[in-house]
Amino acid sequence: MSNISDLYKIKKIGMIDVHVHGFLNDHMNNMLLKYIKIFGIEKAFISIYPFDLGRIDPSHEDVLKGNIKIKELINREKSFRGMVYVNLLNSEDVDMAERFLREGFCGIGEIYRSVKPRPGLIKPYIDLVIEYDVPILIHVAHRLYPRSRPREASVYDLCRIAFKWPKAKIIVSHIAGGGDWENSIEILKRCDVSNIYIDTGGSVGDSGMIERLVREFRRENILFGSDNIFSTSIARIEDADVDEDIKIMIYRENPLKVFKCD
Amino acid sequence: MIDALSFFGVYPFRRVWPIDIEEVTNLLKKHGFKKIYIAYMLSLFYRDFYEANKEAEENFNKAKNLAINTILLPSINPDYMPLNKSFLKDLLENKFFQGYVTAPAYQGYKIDSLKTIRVFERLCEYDKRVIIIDLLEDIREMHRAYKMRHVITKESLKNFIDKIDRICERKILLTSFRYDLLKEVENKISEKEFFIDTSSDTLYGPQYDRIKELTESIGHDLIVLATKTPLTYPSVSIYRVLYSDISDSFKKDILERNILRFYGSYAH
Repeated sequence: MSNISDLYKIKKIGMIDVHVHGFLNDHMNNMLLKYIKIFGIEKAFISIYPFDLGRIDPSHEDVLKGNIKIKELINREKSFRGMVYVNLLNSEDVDMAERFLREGFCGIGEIYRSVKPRPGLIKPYIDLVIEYDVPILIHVAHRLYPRSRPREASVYDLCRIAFKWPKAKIIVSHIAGGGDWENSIEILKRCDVSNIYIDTGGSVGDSGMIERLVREFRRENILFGSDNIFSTSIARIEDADVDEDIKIMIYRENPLKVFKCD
Repeated sequence: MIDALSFFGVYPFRRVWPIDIEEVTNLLKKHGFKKIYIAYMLSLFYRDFYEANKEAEENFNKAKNLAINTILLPSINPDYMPLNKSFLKDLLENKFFQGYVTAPAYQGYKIDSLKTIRVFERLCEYDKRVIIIDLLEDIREMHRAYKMRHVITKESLKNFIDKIDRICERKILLTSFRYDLLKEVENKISEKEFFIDTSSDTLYGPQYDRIKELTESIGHDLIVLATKTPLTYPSVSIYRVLYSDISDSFKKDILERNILRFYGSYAH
């Protein structure tokens, strides 16, 4: 076998990762930093890892603690940009979100599965992201078969939000996060609104996924994301049978257009 | 590098590319493979695997000038073993076949049934390797489409490992197994010296370095690289190993040496 070092082929092109989580635990944060450097990720938009908050519907105090930790991380590391984590069920989280946006956070999310993002619940946050011209990243399950997670958002829910608020930039999280991604792409295609984006993160390595996204979805709305599963997320794009120009759009150009904050 | 399991031919549940064996071998050559073990995709989904393997051999033999050393792995479904004894003998004594890939369990067999265990033990007696598939596209939850079929559970996997004879030590590869299942039985896997591969979507890859965790719990010498091409992008499995926080020597073992150890003494 040739030298192991000959097998590393990833080009360092200044990737912009729109879906990353920071942790309450600094050992995990150090690992995160290590991989950000190894893979040459220039900017990572980070929100607190939802499981670190103890429950899927954490209290306002826990949410605040998570966001303060993210603020500490972005102050420490120049490649990090902040995303405000919120629980749609906490009314106090709206003011908190505005405060963090004013302080330079670059978006809201990842809105996790405390409750389905029904228009009435998400409206205050949509008003904020429109006002501050930042995107909102929402956790989505690409499930075809029923599971025991009734609070999880579907692509349908996000299409409805994008349609209702055309000025809001809505990011569907991790197309490769599990489930039936082919079904999700079909729905996105039919949804046909220009303000819905998708991040390419997740652990699923199914071939053809990126090619199909590029072929059937708006290619300028595909954003590189990893959900911290860096090696798999980069491998998918590297192996995809699409032009290099399109890969650069996904890795860098599209995220820079969506996230205006420096 | 050597690929412990890749496929060619049509996949019945979605369009995958490439399906042609020449194109699969060309693709894997580009990724740096010098040898691959390959199964005919459709053969995993036949009831009569005698027919399936005949079709697999025909298609395999049609291929000319493969870019890399390519070894065909036939399929087996222990629930549909033929009654014809001469066929069974032929299957076991066939020098051409060095290992058998099982149909995914959701295709209809119970991993801990006496029948399954006997079939696998017979194969081991004849020094064949048994490659057991859990869920081919695990997170897509294909098994949910087969409501009344079998799924490998923690209990059934434990039973299977407990019951199977030691003659199968180092001759079984658990492929595309979910990480949570592997963790539940990690002690038993290392005790019976079963191999596991890197192809399951639940193995993630850095930052969640599950390859490293498995080297610590099961042992680096029992992990092999399998890409599951063309179902999966080949680099997904390769990067999981390359970027894992383990030594270069362990990486070399997983990417090549352990695969030679698993497939054993066969010279090709």
